[in-house]
Amino acid sequence: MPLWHEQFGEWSTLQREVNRVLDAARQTVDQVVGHFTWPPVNTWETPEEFFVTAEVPGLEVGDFELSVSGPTLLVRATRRPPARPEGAEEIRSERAEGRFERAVVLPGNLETTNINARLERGILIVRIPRTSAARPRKIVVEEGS
Amino acid sequence: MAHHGRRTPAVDIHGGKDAWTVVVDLPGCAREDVDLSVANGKLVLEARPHRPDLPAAAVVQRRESAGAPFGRTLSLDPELDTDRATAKLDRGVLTVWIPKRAKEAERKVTID
Repeated sequence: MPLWHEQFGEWSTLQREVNRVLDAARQTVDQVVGHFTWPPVNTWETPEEFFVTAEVPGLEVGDFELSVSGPTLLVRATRRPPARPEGAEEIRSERAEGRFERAVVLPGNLETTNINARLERGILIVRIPRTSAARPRKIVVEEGS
Repeated sequence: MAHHGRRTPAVDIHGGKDAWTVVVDLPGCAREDVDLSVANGKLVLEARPHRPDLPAAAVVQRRESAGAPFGRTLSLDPELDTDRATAKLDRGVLTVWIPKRAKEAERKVTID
């Protein structure tokens, strides 16, 4: 049974490691403008591709402007308020509206000239393939003669 | 966030002369993922979003949304006729239209 301060020492090493990982993750997706972070963004990866997804209900493909600047993917769009019947009173107004911009720092091994984006049930899905050098390759092992 | 693992969707409500329009953000949801009901003068909404259509092997790297189910209960004006409510879901936005009850025409009572 280790002494309490030894356990505590182990714990703080673990905590430092957890904080380091969380800080690194936080820097990946960074809010650029706006008084709140909208829309929420996730990033996903496979050995072949990198994906950015964003919850953007109500928007259409034409509402978006995507660009890559250095290692950063910029997602910009304008969200219009819903049509309000004439003379209607605003009882609740919680949905985000206006211009937004999110910046996502991309890993270095992506083919950023080959970005593809689509919308699915109010979710934007951006797909970026990895460079051919970064994609895993199978090496055939031959039988020795 | 009233319940663990459940999120409160953003809602806009407009009250017009003849009806209320309730607009709810439900990203990731299709029509069959949404349950909408009325109980005790309240609109009760439950919805379970789909995981985005990505390769099965895709691992989340950075997560701001866990894709948790949505849940919300909204008090309605007693004037509203929920039996005649209609709803549609388009691009992850639910719009519910609830008309007000037709008022009985005012009757003039003649005083002899």
